[in-house]
Amino acid sequence: MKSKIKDLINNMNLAKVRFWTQLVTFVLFVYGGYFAIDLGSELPIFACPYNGESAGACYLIPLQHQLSMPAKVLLGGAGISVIVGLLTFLFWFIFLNKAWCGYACPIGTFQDWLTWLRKSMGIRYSTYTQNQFEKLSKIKYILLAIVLLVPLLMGVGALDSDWSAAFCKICPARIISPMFSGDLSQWAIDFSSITAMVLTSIGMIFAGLFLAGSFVKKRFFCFFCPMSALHYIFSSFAFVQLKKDGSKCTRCGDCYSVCDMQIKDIADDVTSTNILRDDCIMCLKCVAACPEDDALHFDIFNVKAFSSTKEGFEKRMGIEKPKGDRDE
Amino acid sequence: MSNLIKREIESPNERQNRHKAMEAIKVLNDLREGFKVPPQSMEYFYNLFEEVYCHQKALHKGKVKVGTMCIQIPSEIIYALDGVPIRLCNGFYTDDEIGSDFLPQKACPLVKASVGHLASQNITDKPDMIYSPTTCDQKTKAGSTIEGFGYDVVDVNFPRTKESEISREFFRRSIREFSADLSSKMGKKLSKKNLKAAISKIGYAQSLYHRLSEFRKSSAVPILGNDMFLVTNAFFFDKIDNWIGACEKLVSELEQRVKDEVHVAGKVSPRIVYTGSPPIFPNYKIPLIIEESDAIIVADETCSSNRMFNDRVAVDEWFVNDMVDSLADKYLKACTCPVFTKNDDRIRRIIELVRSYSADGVIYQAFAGCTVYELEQRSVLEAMEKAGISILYIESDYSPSQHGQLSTRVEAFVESLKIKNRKRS
Amino acid sequence: MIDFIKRDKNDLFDKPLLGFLFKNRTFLMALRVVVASLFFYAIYFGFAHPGKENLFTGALFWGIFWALFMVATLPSFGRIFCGICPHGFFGKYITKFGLKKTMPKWMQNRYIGIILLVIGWWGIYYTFPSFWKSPLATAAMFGGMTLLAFVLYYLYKDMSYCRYVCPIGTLTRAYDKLSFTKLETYTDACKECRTFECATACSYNLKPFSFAKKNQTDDCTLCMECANACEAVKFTITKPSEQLFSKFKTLNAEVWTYILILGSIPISMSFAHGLNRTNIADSMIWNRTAEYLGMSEYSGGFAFGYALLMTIFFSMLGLFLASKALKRDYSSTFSTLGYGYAPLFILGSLGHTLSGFFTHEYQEIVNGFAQAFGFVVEVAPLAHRGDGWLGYFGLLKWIGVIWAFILIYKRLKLIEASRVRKVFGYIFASFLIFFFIGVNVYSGYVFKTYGAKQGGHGSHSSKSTSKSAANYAKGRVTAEKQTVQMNDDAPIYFSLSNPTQTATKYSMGMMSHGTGDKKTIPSQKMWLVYGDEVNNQKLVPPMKIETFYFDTKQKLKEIKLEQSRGTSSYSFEVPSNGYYNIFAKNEIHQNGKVIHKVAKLEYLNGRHGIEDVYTQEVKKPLHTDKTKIDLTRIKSEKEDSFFYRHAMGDELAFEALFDNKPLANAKLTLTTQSGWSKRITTDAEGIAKFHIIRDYFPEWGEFDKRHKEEMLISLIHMPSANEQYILTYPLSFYPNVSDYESYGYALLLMTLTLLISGFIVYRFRRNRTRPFSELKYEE
Repeated sequence: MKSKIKDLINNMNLAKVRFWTQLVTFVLFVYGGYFAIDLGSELPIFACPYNGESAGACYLIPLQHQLSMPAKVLLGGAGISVIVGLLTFLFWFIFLNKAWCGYACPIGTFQDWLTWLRKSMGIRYSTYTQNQFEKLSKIKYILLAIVLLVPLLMGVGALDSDWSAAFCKICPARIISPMFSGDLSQWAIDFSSITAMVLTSIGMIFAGLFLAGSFVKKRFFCFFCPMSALHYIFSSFAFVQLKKDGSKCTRCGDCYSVCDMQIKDIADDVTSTNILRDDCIMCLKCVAACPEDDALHFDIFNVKAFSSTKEGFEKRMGIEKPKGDRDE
Repeated sequence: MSNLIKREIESPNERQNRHKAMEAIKVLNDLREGFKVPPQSMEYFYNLFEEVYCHQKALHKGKVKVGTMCIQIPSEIIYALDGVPIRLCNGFYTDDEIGSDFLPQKACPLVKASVGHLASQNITDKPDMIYSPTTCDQKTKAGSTIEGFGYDVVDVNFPRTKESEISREFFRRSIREFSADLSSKMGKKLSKKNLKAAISKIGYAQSLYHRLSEFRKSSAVPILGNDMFLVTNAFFFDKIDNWIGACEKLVSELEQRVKDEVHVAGKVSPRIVYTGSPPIFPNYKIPLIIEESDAIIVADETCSSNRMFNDRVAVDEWFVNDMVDSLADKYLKACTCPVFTKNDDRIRRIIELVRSYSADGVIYQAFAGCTVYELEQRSVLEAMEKAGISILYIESDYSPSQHGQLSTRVEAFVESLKIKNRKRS
Repeated sequence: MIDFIKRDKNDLFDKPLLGFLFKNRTFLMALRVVVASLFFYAIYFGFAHPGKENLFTGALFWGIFWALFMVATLPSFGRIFCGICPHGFFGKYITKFGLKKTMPKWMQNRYIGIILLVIGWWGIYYTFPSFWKSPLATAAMFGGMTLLAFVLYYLYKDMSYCRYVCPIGTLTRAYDKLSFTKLETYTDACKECRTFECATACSYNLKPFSFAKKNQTDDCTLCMECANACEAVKFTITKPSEQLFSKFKTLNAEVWTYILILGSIPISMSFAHGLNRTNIADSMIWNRTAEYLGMSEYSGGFAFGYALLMTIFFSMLGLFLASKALKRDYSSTFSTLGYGYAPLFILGSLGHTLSGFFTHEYQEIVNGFAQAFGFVVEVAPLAHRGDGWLGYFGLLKWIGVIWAFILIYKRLKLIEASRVRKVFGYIFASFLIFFFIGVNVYSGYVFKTYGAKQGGHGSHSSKSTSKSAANYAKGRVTAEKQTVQMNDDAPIYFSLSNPTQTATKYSMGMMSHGTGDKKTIPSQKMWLVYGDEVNNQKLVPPMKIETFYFDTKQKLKEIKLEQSRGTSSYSFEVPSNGYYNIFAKNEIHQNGKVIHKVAKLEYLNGRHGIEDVYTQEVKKPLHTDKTKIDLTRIKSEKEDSFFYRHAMGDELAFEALFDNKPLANAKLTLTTQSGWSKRITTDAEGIAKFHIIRDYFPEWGEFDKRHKEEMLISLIHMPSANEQYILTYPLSFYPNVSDYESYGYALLLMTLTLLISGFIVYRFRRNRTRPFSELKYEE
């Protein structure tokens, strides 16, 4: 019985499971407010609160607001609110680790839908060369620095209140996410001051780049996402992990071919056990595409929950008994 | 004297065929009768080899035969374009002698045999075109020699490093060039449908091999290593659908055998992983010696057997461009041929095989003259020593002599493994 | 000994400048001579000028050496403080000519130095605060210690004074473990060595060639004699506190140093200098004990005592429980895990010292040196106490906490135990850290809630600014004397800003943060003012006025009148979100006419965190018969949240009511602060509509989207010749969002971006495949 359940899971059609899960979480987080669902404002995904009826708020908003308190207040007792917020965020986070990105984030889901659109139009995807990949991979940390440093600078008085929630002003999710509730009010450039003008213009440009980029590159924005950088810092404490058994790996590169984020380590690194990298969105496509038994596995509390198997690979790649012509 | 017995002088081709048939039938008889009862389904393969090598049966009439010199040419693309891939690696001493006229005496016997075979022009399923990937030196240079015999030989560029981004792009482009060339020669185009079907079919064949190999993991091994070599060698030239059908029968029979705990070797026979230069039919000299010395080959790491079937292709988006690129990637990245600069993957593979098949030792056989396998010997030996795995290194070639010397060494090794096993238990 | 070795990349001796500074004999000698000279000069100066006018002695000893140089170098480069110490410098030579006896066993006790420091210095410092800081005492102490040191150097060998008697010997050795440097040797070279010049050269009789293997440098003071004796000695840069990540021979005295110094300095200071300076200092336990024993003037000493006790208690309790959880004996747990406490003191002290340096030490040091060497200079302090960025030095203390947590984790790795046990062990061992955090947080809390005693020296935590929920206008109160008399018939109206206070920058609509006590119900303050010009309102002098208000559920409530500093203000409670309507009624008789004055204010309370939802119910206008005349605002469709603000260009609709019946043809006067004024009349249904004017056109660079303008509406109605009703209604409005946000430009930008990026992607993909376009497949 146990092995039957195991087989059922290991051989599942991951693409289907993922599609339905993403659909449910998208409806939940984007339209949840209509069902009076409020999951708090420390969510580890881009559930943008500019979207009026979202079921919660992305953690970066309260983080920026809290850090922008005047420095003396922050370093006194009020700093507790930062810690409480961080702990709540971590509480959400440790259940799914970076699978929040792959299965729950509405912006991620939207990018996957754009990818589906491109596929059905028969257009191939674009990839980065290794060189470009390495150069661009630092951008998410720069954006995370903006998220953390700009409010702190506001707190010491170096930046004025126009810089409030600076990252939100440049974030494409602010512009795209409300579209799903028919709210186009964020599609505006705020000319009230130079700072506001520049920031909202950058926001529009990023939104445009987001749409163009996500169309040709799978999960384009996730490569630059500061939430991803924030996740990665805490990812080793989570309950679920992506693990690899290097001795079973033949470095065939199948996992790398299917990886949306173009993570080379998943194929090439045969020594580390924890193969979760800072770009990973834990979509588990690599586990699904690995043709060896137990080389890659998705662990919950260090117990293998979803493993790569030969049988699962065959089922998912559509390798079936061919109807050939045999002479007996 | 009126009733002179008319003797017909054999033509060279006929002699060649006779000699080859002798070599072939000797091995087949050994396999049929020399060991414990082979599986019933193996009859198909014994018959196949007999028909092809003893009776010169042509299998692929009416189809375009695409000869390949090494396993790095994606057979999926050939099948998709409605061709038949024929692997030209040759195991006959007869052909080896013919080939010695064209290549230096010290060269790899496998290449010499392949060259000799093609030189003799005495081929049943003669390839219409030959693709030669630039893998080892011998094969690379052999390409132009073969061209001199009048064949249409196309070199397919193969990189010598597989880690770098450059190699990957290089080989992708190389494969695209190959498939464009083949496409124009066949007069057909690759389409999503035919390529996907081909990938699926080859993938299925590979999964059958995987299932067969799984059976050899149990302590009662249901099939001889030599029989497996035969099965995989058959894949070089057999009709793929027939091969798949025969394998399926073999799978069900072996499944039954495992249930009945049928063991084709002795109770204390050490389990061996065989690696090195590929044993091509009928050059099963070393494997036969091993299994005659009361050991059993449970797994192998050779390009005539395991390497062809081990890694399957994964494609993310089923566009033709992506499928061809994924094929190129897999044929390059998963390959553990010793032509590469670094061979960590091969060592890890051997160690993993030893572990998962519970092997007692490794036998590494290199052809005298095979530069790459000989050069890798040292690093593999060191790695095995570090991992605590017993390993024997043998050099041999196609000549029938040296049999005694080799069997002594193998027997000694097998004995030492038995002693080790006894000590352990 | 070897003369040359290829040095590693992380070897400091290989770097051009740092190698010179740390190794060069001549430079080090010169440096030591300078330090020793300053040292002795300061002692002499202290005796020569024993009084308060002596700035130099204090500046040199307490400004530079202790604690700035010490706490700055210990967690960074290591024990270089000892390397240039004058005692050691002279001691080396004195020992050469001395008796070189072995120190008696009873004296070979590190706790001598520790007790000297903790009780002898810090204990006295807290009990008699000004004692040690006086120049005479300073000079006497250092002079005395120097004498003692010289005597001991003469008598005993191997610089035993430094090890056992010097008050900071064990302290520097203990905190040196946090540094990111390591003195050791290239062991490959040492394998071949027969002569061991490094050991011969060492005046402390240490064996540098064994440092790498032992993973510690014992009592090495970084004097660099060994480095100059043989090139195989290296001084490497490592990860901070890397030594603590692996095993080494632990010393209980070092762990006790951490605990005792943590108690003596940060915790005691939080008590004696921190909490003792709050308004509730008297309720603190040490003060109560001191009072009980009649020794209140030594309360600092009691604070110190309690601090030590509590620190020792928490550390021992925590480590005891940890040893039980990990199933190990107490002493090995103590010596393994106790090392984790090292960063707590040193980084907190570093932060405090650095911020002190910038606020006053720098000035004192310069003045001191000026005094000692007879030159004149005027310097201003580099920072002032309230500066924002100084707060960042406070961060160092928290970095120390995090570092301590990491160290406990790393030290736990060296213990064999099951995972669960280790988790518990970790929590228990961190008790001291929790205590440290707790003291700091409590301190901050006390300061915020109760405030600092006035005239105090300030505190470590932030000085809280009292925030009652609605005080928009801060700043100095200049109570203007109300000289101008109010006309009897002048209309009165409500204002949300105190007219007697000059506006500061906080008076612009800052949303209430909802800080303040959760227990008190938030309330809003208003003032009654009069005067036609919106900018020039005056407070209504106290008179008989009936006031009341209706809350969000339209229930009648009472308004509180508050008098302070001669001004009277009114406040009403705003517990929930919604519209509050406030009224003030007055009736005067003048020249046979009765004038009814009504001041009305409609206040929309919008506060984050309150669960109220903005429904249609909320928008219902209020009808009351408490006043005969009334003006209600009809809410438009656009208003949909508690945070709605009127914007320029909005259309407002009002209904005038008299006796609860619509009042037709009533006259409404609108006045804005810019001076614009308009008269409109209500129609037959008593409704009047108008658009808020746009009158804010500054230069683009000065445009402030939060610019608030006031408008006053007054309704005058005379039902008969002898009766007049005046109702006033103030409004504030802001620039309209659509005046500074543009959708058109946004769309344009977006389209351009899409086009350009699409084009780039297209070209990029084409270029990728063009070199082998003959090999591209048609799908």
